[in-house]
Amino acid sequence: MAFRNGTDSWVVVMFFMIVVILFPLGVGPEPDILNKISSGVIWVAALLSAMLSMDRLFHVDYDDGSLELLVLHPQPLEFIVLAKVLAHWLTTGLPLIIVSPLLAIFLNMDISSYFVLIITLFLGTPTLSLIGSIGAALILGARRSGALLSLIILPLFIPVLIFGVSAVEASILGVSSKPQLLILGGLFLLSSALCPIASAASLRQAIE
Amino acid sequence: MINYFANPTRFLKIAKGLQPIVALIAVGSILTGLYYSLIQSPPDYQQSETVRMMYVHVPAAWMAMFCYVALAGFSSVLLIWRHIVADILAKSTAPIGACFTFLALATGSLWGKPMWGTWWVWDARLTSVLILFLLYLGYMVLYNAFDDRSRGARAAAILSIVGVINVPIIKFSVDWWNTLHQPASVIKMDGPAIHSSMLTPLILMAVGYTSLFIWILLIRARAELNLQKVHALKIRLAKV
Amino acid sequence: MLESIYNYFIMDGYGIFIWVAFGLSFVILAGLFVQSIRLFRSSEKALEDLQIQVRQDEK
Repeated sequence: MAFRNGTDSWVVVMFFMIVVILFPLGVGPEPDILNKISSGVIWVAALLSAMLSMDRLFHVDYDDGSLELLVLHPQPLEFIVLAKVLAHWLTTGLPLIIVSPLLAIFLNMDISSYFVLIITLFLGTPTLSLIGSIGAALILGARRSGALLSLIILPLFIPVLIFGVSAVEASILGVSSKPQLLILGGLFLLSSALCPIASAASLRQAIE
Repeated sequence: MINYFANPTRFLKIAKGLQPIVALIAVGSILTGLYYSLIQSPPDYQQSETVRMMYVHVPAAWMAMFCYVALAGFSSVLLIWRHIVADILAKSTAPIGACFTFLALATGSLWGKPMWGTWWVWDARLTSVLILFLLYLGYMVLYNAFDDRSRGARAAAILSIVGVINVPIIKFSVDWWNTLHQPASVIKMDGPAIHSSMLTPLILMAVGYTSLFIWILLIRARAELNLQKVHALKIRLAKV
Repeated sequence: MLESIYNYFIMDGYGIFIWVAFGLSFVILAGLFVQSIRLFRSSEKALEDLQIQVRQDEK
């Protein structure tokens, strides 16, 4: 479904890279400082990119009326939502992970903390897509939906951001980042169980 | 029982009867609470006079969470039974809860400056309360973002139920993470760990804040009920 | 006498924080209360005006 728009993926990846590149220019090129803030910068950029593409998740289907067909479809709506979230992650989350080695070099990250960063992104970005799907469903038909989406979804993204960044920071400091990774995994499992239910409920009320 | 209260006329009757009672309790307990918290209670041996901050900070923080649970409760009733009174109560709860959350953050900041030497720290408790504040704001904005009022009510209701996950995080954040914020000392399994001379003003303020919440909630709910009637009448006039 | 009142308001030097916290709580809650009362009054008035209008139309 979302694969049709290959350009969307490119726009999101470009956006992600530009946000990350802005930081060395804004903060200054000190390698030590860049290394210290690298995980935070990459994570905030990933969060903003996930958000950027999120409001289109159900929008096309809502506008052309095919959402009603999906709701009436014999397949449970929760599974359809899950499929859409997976498509969203494959087109936006995964490309970010693929380009992240380049950004890690830009930000002077060392190999071991980069390795942890990849794990956090693999656990965290699908969680962002899952949580974001609730917001994408809630704003269907609203005025100023783009700004609204960021207001209702960013607070719910914060826990993922905190544990994603602190896992990488722990490894930069040379401490085990296992507890943070376990919490991130827990967040992923919890949200993959609960978010489709909430999104499906929001979609049902949106087309009433 | 929920159906019994769902009738707007009956709700209005109950609200009118309840309002003077909660008003009396609110004014009475806040005034005596203030007397106890500012004059009649001793300074703490560790925190000295700053302990007085507790009597406005802790009740506000309790109310911030209590209002959110109430908001989510009204929202679930709205989504399950589609009662108009639940919608009105939920809509009226949100701004009150946002005010209490703001107060919890602001008074906490004022308490943190002399105690920790800083206005703000990014620990789990403060961050999760800040998220709570943003959830209240998101609820109110989402509610008003639709041309169709009932759509906004339902979308915001779902958001508030999703956000309930934050309430246990706030409650247990001081136990799960090491932070500057002190752990709970009143609501504990083995009874409160706080002297009765401090417990008295705290309880009085908490009772006062709770009844103030109900008082303002009833006023706002009656106003919303009027506005809904206005809306319905306008539609009727436009049709004629 | 005067000194003890002064000392009371100073509160070991923490007075400013304490009084601002209490004052802010009062201002916010009173503001919310006044705004709610105003909302209620204006809604009552709007409803009354409209009801008068409806009655006139029915005549």
